[in-house]
Amino acid sequence: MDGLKLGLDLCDGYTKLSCLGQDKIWAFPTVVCRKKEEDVWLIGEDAYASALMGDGVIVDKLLKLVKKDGTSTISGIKYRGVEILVRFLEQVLMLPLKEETGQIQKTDGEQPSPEMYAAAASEFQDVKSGGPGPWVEQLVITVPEVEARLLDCLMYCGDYLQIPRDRLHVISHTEGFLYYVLNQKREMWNNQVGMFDLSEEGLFYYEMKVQRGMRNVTVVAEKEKLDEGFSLDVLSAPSGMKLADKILCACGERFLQKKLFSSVFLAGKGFENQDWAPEFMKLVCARRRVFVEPALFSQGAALRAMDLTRGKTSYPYVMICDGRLDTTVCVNVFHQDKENQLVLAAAGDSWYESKSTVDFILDNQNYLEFFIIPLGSKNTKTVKMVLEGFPQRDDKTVRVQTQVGFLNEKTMAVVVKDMGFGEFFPSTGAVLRQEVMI
Amino acid sequence: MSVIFCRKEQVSHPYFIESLGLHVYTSQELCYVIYHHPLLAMDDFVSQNLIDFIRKELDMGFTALKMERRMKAGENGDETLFLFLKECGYYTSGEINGLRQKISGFRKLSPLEYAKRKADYLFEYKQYGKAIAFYIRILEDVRYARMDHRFQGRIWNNLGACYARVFQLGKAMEAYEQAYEKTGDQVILKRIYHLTKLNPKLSLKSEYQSAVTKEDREAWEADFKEAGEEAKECKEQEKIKELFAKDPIRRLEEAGRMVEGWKQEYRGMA
Repeated sequence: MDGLKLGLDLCDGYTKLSCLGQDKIWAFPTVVCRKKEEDVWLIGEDAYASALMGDGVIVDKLLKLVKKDGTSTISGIKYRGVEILVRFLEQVLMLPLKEETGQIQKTDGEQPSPEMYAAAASEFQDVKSGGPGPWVEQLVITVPEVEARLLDCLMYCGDYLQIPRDRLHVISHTEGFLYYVLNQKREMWNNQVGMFDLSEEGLFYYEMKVQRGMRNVTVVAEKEKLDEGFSLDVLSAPSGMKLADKILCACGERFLQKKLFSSVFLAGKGFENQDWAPEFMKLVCARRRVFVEPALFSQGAALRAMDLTRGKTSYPYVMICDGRLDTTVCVNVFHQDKENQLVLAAAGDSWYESKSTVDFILDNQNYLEFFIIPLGSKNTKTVKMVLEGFPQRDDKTVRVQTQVGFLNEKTMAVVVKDMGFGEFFPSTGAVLRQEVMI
Repeated sequence: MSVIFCRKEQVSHPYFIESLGLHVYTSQELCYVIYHHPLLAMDDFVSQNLIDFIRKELDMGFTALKMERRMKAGENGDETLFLFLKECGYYTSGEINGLRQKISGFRKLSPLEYAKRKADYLFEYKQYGKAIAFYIRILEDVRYARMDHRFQGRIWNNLGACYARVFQLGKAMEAYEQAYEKTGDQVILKRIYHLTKLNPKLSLKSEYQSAVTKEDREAWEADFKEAGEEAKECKEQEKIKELFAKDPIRRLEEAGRMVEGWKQEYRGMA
């Protein structure tokens, strides 16, 4: 079996899983249920069924639970949110594996040989005993908002499921949208691209713009949560449908007028069926290409997963969106008599994954100076970090290790450590940590 | 004022600079040794071992190759050092040129003067054993006899100082006596006198007795006492006092470490 390239759209209300190479998309509510009498975990509709039968305890809103570090007690056992999320993800990742191993039995009318059955059964046993982790080549999880706490928990889940860190990535819905759109033909994203996402999570509008520069192409995507959002339950009544159509028309007029769109996408469960929104569809389809893709985010994430398995990216663009930096952070360094800029973090890098560690030698100065350059702006900000408590020597023997990471898109954390200078000057152990707003 | 970027160097086997008794872990430290200790870096410093270290540990294969070619071609060793400094980018061209001038200044010295400078340098870095070998080599050199008495006296005096630092007081006495013979310097006589105080088996030669006045003797006695008092207040003594204030188990552990440190230091000196 080849390694799986998975895109997982994980929200509090629903979960969607796309696996490249398999046509099927798994979509189910984000709920998990543990059977009362045994350590068996069920997800989605099975979880609801078990809870309705009264032999299981259900837990929902998993992302919220994890973010607030909440707990849930099931059959007298107290589980942390992240522990429940692990169980949920484990079951989710088993779905494509079951599908793959089950494929062997679906040969075109031909009866598979006993050996083929045995091989499939043995492979599935391996999966069941070892967990899904080792079978994952790349897993990209897309979440509505990229928050450090949630990302840490997802990484913990990855570790538990034996998915190496370099095979697990978390992106925002906005980034999933970018990957999905950029994977389409170029004429579909030459100008602006708009998208309405209607799901249990609410109503959102996304917009993508392309900026062609001298060196590279920059794609910028933004997301806006619309206050007009409504519950999908209203679509079950004719009056609700009418009202919803009216709301969407108003939003469509607000966002789509006076702009040139190469294409417009409609995503989310709300657009699986568009019969309830005739006026909105009329408005949005006027002189525009419109596409409906209910599982757009998981598809985008799966495309990103595929891209990660390639030696060279198929998306050579600077992507600016939620979860990625919109500024470049650099330090001026001297090398071979010339002053050069050393980039510590570049605009377009994922802030969570952007971590750099570099050693510098301070020549007759007791500070580090960071230059923060916003994308497309000439207003460079300078941040000076004075290294109080660090040794002061004027013969190029103050070596400091500088670690740069990000707490979110706007906060950079810098840790500077005195490394000493070999056996000539042992380290004093001085360490300085500073958070910098970028 | 500037910031220098350090390239990543995963050194698992540091290079040992014997003359300094130190290990070098990075290209910057190696540059530092060459720049600040040119006398130690001149002559036999560039060796196959050093080139292997640059190639394998510092991962500077191209630089190592260039250095190796120069070495095999028998080119000026100093230029090989400058090549390394330039490739590392740790020092500016101006600083490298300054070093070039300094080294060419050393090269202009007479061979014995140059050897003495080198031996003095080793003495300064507590490499007494190696310094002794250098001073003896000077004494055995045929050109030594042609040097003036002042120079000869300085060699003997420095040799005596080296012996005294490694507690070979008898040999130190002989060297100081030679130095005194050459220069007649009263300061050397004072050192001889202090040696007799350190080792009662040693004594001031009868022919020197007349050169020591009562006032000299009293002043030297006072100096000796003062040095003893200063030694009582030194940092090492403080450390020992702190050690004895600790509980027996920790005291024993730390005493072991301290003695081991002294042993290492003495081995480096000798």
